[in-house]
Amino acid sequence: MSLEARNLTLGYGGQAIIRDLSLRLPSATVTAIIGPNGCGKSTLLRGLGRLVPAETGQVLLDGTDTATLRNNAIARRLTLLPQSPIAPEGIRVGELVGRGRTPWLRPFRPPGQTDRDAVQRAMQAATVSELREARVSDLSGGQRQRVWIAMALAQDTDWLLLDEPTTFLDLRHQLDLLKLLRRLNRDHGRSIVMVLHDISLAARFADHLIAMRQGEVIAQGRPAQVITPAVLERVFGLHTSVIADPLHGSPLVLPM
Amino acid sequence: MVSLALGARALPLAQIWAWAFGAGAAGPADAIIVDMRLSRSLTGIVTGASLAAAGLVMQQITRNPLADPGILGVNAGAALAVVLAVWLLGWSHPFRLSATAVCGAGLAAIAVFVLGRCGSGGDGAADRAGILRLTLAGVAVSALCLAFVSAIVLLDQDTRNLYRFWTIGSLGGGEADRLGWLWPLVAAGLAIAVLLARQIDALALGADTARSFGVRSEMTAGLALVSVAFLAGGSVALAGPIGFVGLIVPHVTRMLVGPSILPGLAVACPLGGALLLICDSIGRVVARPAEIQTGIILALIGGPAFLALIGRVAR
Repeated sequence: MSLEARNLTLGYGGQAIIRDLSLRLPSATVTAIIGPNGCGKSTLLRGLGRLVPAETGQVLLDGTDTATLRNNAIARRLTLLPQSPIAPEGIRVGELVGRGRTPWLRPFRPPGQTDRDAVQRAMQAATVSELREARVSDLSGGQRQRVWIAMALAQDTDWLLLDEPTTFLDLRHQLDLLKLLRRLNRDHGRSIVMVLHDISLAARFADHLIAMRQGEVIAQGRPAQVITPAVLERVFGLHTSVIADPLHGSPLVLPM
Repeated sequence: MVSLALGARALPLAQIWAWAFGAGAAGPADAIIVDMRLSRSLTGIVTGASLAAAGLVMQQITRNPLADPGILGVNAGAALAVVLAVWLLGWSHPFRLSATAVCGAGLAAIAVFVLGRCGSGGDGAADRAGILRLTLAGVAVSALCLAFVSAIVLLDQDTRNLYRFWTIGSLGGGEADRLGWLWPLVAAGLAIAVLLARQIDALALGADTARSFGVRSEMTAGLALVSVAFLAGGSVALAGPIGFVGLIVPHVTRMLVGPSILPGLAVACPLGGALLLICDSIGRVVARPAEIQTGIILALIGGPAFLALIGRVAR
């Protein structure tokens, strides 16, 4: 079980952002992609989630080239939550989470018991059950982000890709969200891949880190292997000192 | 029923009732009901329903609450096609003009879609930019078509007379045969929207999310536009460009049943049909024995209603 890029070239309108990149993401793991703005980390995530078509190379899902799979078959195993998804005006939480079932529904048949169960489980896991009848537009930023996570969970995929899920959230809600994602990984065995800006949070909550710069992977591995002054210098061009977080033991970055 | 009763010559409701359930009234009343009023009422219902459905689908896929069939350039395209056909070819046969209107509407929709193609695929921001582009393309194509229309109409007296009908929209004359061959077009447009319901609902969450659901977003958007072109083109050919129905009814619908497309269509179609019928009936009564065109009544009622709606949403 893995998600793999082989000689992947990605770009928009002929301009390559990622060139000939190969990478293997372990399953049942929380992986975080870090790097400076414009380094191609979102593009890589979107390429893995097939939102950006591969110009050359392949994306392999559990060993199968995704180009040979039907869209629907992929959507039952892997989903990507974009950075700023759009909620239709006036939609209620339960209905929005229910739309996550789209790839599982059969044409001309209403959602069945399996679908209702999946929606309920997803809302419980993301702790939004009590918001079912609320309008999404009336929710706070933290609640809304949990609703989007619930929608992605209702899709019942092994792989959950998230593009900067903590943007627009204050520190407390960032922590809540990352704890929720880690719980989904630990308790439900989901494979989570996310783009994160905050290096220290990434180091604390991810099992596997990928550091990128200018479309290339500079380092990957456990947080302690990746978060080193030498790597951070190459990736961000920053002089830093790295110490062990006295509370959690994870690497803590101190910019000079 | 009331719509059947009202008109230049008022018929008592009881007489209509008797006609509906009896063997049919004798004499001129029967002719009025069957030949004029019935076909007119049916046309009103079909036109209103298709405009409401077209507006609903438009607003869903563009995620623009101000979208309406007019924005796709459909009305302007149809008007230009009709004016050109009258001016250059001297056509006046309603069948030919209806066909011309549908073609013009379709061509305009295609032009707008190609110009404003949201196929760049990009991220959320690019997605929104694509929608903006589509809207701007619609406005541009509309303006261009209407400029040509104005020029031609100013040049040619006969065209002008005929054009007055198309600019305002009316359920005026002899639609029975037109309805007979236009309803399949409208039905096809509606069928596409129903078949695509889940994909359109997914697309309303943004192209990225739709793709994450395994929905092919470009294809869905393209087919949804075909549906809109059929629905709006059919309605233009039936009654000329009628505004406001496609704008207001989807708003009311969303307030009633939320933003999903299937319950939306189930509510919007009857609502649109009823709204148009009521406005048409009012138009026939207030200026008896003459008529005020439906489009004018709709604008008179719809304008303030729309302002009130915006006021409520803004608060």
